[in-house]
Amino acid sequence: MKITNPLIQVFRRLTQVSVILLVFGLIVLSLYGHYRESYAFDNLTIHTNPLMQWILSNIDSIVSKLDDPEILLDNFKGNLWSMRLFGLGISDPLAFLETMFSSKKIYLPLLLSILIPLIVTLIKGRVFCSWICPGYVLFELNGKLSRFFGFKHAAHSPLYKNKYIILIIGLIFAFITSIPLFPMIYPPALLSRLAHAWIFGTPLKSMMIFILIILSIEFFVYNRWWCRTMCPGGALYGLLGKKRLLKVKLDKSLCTECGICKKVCEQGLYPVTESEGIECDNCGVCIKHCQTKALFFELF
Amino acid sequence: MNIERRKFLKGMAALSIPFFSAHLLFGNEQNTYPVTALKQTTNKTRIIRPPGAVDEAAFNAGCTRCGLCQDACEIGAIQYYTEADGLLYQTPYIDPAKKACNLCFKSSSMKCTTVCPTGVLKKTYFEDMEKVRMATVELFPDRCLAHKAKYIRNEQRMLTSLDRSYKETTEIYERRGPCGKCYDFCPLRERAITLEPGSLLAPIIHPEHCIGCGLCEEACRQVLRGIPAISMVSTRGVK
Repeated sequence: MKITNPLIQVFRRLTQVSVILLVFGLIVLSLYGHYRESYAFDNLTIHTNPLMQWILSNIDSIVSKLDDPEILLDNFKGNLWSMRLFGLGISDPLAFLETMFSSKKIYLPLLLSILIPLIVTLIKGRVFCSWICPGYVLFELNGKLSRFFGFKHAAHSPLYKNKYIILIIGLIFAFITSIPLFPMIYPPALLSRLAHAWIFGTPLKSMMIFILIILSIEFFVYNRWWCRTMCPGGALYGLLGKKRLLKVKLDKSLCTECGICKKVCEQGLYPVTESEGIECDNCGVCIKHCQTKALFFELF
Repeated sequence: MNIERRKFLKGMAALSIPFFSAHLLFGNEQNTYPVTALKQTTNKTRIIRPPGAVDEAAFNAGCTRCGLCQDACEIGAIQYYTEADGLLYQTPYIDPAKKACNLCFKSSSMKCTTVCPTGVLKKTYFEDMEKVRMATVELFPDRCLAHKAKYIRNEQRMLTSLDRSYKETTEIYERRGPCGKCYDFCPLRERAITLEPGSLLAPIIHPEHCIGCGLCEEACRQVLRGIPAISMVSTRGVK
């Protein structure tokens, strides 16, 4: 089954936006739960800005009509590192791996909670990066801004195997010292916590500095430096999706070797030769830009 | 990497936009969480973990720093260590000086233990509340209002028996009402805190029954508005 529909990019953007809205929505719902539990709803003007006040009063008007609001508030919680949707735990596979190595134990509920992302990754490959991760959106926008201001990065960083080394070193470090490092450097976890800290008004200096360092390096030196060469989560998803069923494939009879796909590829690959390897994250940008429709998604 | 000066300056100007907007958005470093906390100093150097926590080494190793327990704790008792606290970064703690744990008495199980994905907070039902050990309790009778009242009344009795004159302070205590707030707020009344018989509600503590929720400390802080007479002592050491 060939998929070359350019609407795929629209779907990708919609998914990214809805994931960001979901992350913020869960945080705001949690904040509403805090106010509700503390009977502090009348004091909202003291603590929050007018926009948040408006959002919270809308949530209040909806929730107060429900029969049992506790069910809504208890079953929707969390962030992209580990969340509860409909009372069902969903965690990042990296969180499971990290906790397994640092605590030297396998905890069954955590293993069950990674099943959904694991199955999606085994079928569709590294789509968590390109379709869900809010860090990817931020770095993509940063790269576009950088190119808009005239930084034409000549080449992507060649050290793309770094991320596997970082994954292995991080896991060995967690095993020896029992300190989980990944939640402090992994952008989806970090950005979710940053959004949480921003809305809840807790201190968050170091997290912000780390993200700003990545943004500056990507702005000036290497385009998409973090995702391509550093991210341990991307490495794990790449390895899990090695035998994926959904792949970007090439129809050689149609390819004119114009090189457009190499220019537009976010991961700095040449899709004509490298699209079936573990570095490809199935974002589908090359398919959209291919003039002769030589590149296409194929399931199975 | 070959950057012209003009381009570099242009880029710096462009980058200053997100930095500046980030400063405007996130610049507020004041910790305003939880919103309902008393305006008092915190004491996060004593390590008090949420209910059902495993021992300290296993907790630090097993906690995946996801932040679900803070979301679940809607009264705002659970807070997080920040980057200034070193290796405890992003692990949860409870500070009764700001907000004490109420053990989720409205629901069947403690919410933080229900949502914890890693099992470092073992699932605890409200019926099993007595098995929780978050901290132990410590009483300073010299600061306690009820103990003070007891001393003064004993003094007056002694003076009366000696037929000496005294100021009628018992009346003041009876008019204002005795304290006993720690007894009122204790979820294990008559086990962790009992009242001294024949006194003006002077508490006696029993640390072997105490679960360490800190509700007595929170209540005592509201009465004394300063250093409380009854407070929690960490069983996991101090930071």
